[in-house]
Amino acid sequence: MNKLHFILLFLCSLVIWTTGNGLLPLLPVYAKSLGANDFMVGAYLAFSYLCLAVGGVSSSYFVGQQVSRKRLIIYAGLTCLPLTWAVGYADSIELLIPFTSLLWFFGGVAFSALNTLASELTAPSSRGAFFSLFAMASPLGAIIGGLISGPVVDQWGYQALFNLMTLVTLLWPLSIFLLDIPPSSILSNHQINRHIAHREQRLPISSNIKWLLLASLAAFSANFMGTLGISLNMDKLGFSATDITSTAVVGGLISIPFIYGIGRLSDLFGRKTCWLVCCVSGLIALYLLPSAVSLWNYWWVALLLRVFSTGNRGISNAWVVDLSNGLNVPKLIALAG
Amino acid sequence: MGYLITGYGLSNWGRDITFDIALIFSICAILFVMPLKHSLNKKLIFRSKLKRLKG
Repeated sequence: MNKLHFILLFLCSLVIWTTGNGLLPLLPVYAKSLGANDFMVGAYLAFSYLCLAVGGVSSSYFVGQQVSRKRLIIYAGLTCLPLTWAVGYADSIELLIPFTSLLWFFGGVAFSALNTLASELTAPSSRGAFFSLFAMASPLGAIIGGLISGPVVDQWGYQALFNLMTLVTLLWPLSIFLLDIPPSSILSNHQINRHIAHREQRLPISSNIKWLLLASLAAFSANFMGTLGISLNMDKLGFSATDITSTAVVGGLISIPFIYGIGRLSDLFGRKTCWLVCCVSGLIALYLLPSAVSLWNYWWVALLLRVFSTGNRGISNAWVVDLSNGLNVPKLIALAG
Repeated sequence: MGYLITGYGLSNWGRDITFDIALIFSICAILFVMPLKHSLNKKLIFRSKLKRLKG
């Protein structure tokens, strides 16, 4: 992969993360402003995440139907343009739910295809280094999205934010359109079908992996409860949109060194020790959350929750690979993450 | 699941109980990894070191 390939792929990933991370802290507040109660907000976000997961799984189906990954990412990006704009003009929760769900679905399709395309374009020897740099798009997206979205909402309102996000989203299909992929680096349809057939083999789930997957499910549930709790609590206490999105910025800032460090630390001190440290960080955050009243309190909670989520994601991926004996690794990583 | 429970909990049970449930989830995340042995990873590290030495 040359530098231009990396820049274009990274730009596309950064746009997806900036939009996602920029919108996520404000979506509960936006839904509440359209008349949703707390339960509806929770169900709305849960359904959106379900669509994101379905989108990720559907990506391999579309590629199996002879659609190249490059085209798939471009089509998904072009579909997301009117959807992002439409979310800003939804005047009821009944309209907001389908628009956001479709947006998250196509985001999932593109994100999965983007990661696969990136791995196809990278030589196996440099994949580790590439993906650790590629993973930087997530915290950078949180910082950029968090810095932009709050002040825009406070100054000009939600419609202006979604208009701006539509313009930002334009970079997503554009960057991939400019990506010149050498034919030799792409898997043929026969190889893709063989790859899919290989992935559809029955998963050998040992009891160790089952415990790890259960632990991962519990950790992510706790983390998402904390994340939604921050937005809803801050909204109830009358914090501005800028304050609410600043928690995403703080989380993004801590993630950058942590993404690199946690893998190395878990190699040195063992996965279990590092997992426990991350869980204790989550415990402290969730203990502090109900009594948090000032912006500083919420920044600490967001920081500790980010350590919890980033750490658990990194460790569970590495741990499940350790336990899998090399079988069905992509599927197990998807389950653990 | 986290979002659903938070939304339902904040509407029906209140803030304290909802975040107590979140605390229980993180305690479960700790308890569920307890049956996993520390030595699994150390074994792997030892094996890879051995391979490197042989190589």
